Amino acid sequence: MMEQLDPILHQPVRTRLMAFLTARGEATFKELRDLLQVTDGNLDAHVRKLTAAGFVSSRKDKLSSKRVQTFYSLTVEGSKAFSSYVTALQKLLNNGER
Amino acid sequence: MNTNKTTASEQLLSIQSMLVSGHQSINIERHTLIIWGTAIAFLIGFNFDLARPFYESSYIAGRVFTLVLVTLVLLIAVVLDMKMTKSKRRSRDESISIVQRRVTYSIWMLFAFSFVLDAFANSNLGGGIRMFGVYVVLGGITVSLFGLHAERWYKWCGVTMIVAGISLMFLITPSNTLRFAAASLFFIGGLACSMFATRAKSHWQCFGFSLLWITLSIALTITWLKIDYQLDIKPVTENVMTLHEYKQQNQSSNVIVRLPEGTVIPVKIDIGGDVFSEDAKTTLELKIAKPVDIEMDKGKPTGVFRIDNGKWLERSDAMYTSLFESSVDLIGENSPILYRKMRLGFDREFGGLKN
Repeated sequence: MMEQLDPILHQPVRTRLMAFLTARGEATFKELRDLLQVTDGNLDAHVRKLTAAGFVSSRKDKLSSKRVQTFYSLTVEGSKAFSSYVTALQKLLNNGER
Repeated sequence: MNTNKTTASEQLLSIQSMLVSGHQSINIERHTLIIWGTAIAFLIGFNFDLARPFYESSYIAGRVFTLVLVTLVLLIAVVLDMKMTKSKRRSRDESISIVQRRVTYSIWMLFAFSFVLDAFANSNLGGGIRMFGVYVVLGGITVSLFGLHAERWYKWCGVTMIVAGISLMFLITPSNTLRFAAASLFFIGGLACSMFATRAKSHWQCFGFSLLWITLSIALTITWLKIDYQLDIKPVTENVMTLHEYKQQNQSSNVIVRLPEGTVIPVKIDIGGDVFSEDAKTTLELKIAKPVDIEMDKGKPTGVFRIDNGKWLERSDAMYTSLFESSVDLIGENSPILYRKMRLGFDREFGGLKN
């Protein structure tokens, strides 16, 4: 049964990150780090995986010549994948109850 | 299987918790409440006074001025709020959530719509003084909406404002009293609510909530007691004459014309419409029960008057109408009968208008 769950999404930090972005729309790196309580390096690694899978996209807002603010949001593919992942989790839970 | 089930359950719980965090992501900046509170208080408090000279020249000019003023003030508030919010968020490396953008957008629309409604529809359909209460209710709905997605204190402040607004709608009192009660609720209420802004310390939150309650209590008490805010209105001249004398003389200067008790005033009524074959014109003769002094300038009333040597009043702030009964009798004596029972009052104690 566990094979049906997306391995990219079936990881606690990435699941929470995807859920937060689903509800909030977009968030900065700092907001995600503060919420998930992970280090910069750890979060960066997770974001890279999600970006490589096409689940998360980023946009950059230039604040000054030296400062750039990066916003992360879910892609359409990411939203679909997350929705399928939640459905799979619910099925797993329901099958277990029978 | 049990391990899988536990993992799935834990994941779903963490997803739910993150979804809640994501939805409760409105973080109202202090300046937002101050800017909006001030802008709306300004419009409620001074819109009518600023537009008055335009209304005196023509009805359309008055409406157009009101619309331009409302658009300008709301636009300044929107731009200022947006710029300051963006700048603050950038400095803290934070974003503005989609929920916040949508709620803010809905609120802009709600207030813009109400002011336009007040400027155009209300003057044709009546019920002007009720609008002040409506504004406070709208303010309450706004604060409550924010409260659903942010600091829970806002929700209770919003509910308090809604109750206060409904009370203002039902308290029949001079329009100036209602106007300034509503304006002060927005101005001081905005300041008070800004003290609940996220990151505020708990003692500031308690102070803000107390301030809001004190303002609400004072506003409602003043309204309930029908205390009149209207500044002393005085005519430009003290030259009093009878209507007969006034007709005889040159009418270019300011004079006060006294209409004694028993003067008959013909009210010309002209009613038409698409149902009637032609406009019905008739004259209704009303007899005044108390002497009335009216200030005239260049042959036209200035709007300043007094009843029975009482306090000088401004027509636009002092006239109340009340429709007590409206019915249709289709099988009247010879033809269908339309019945309208209406009362006009100039008494500051509106309660004096009896059925």
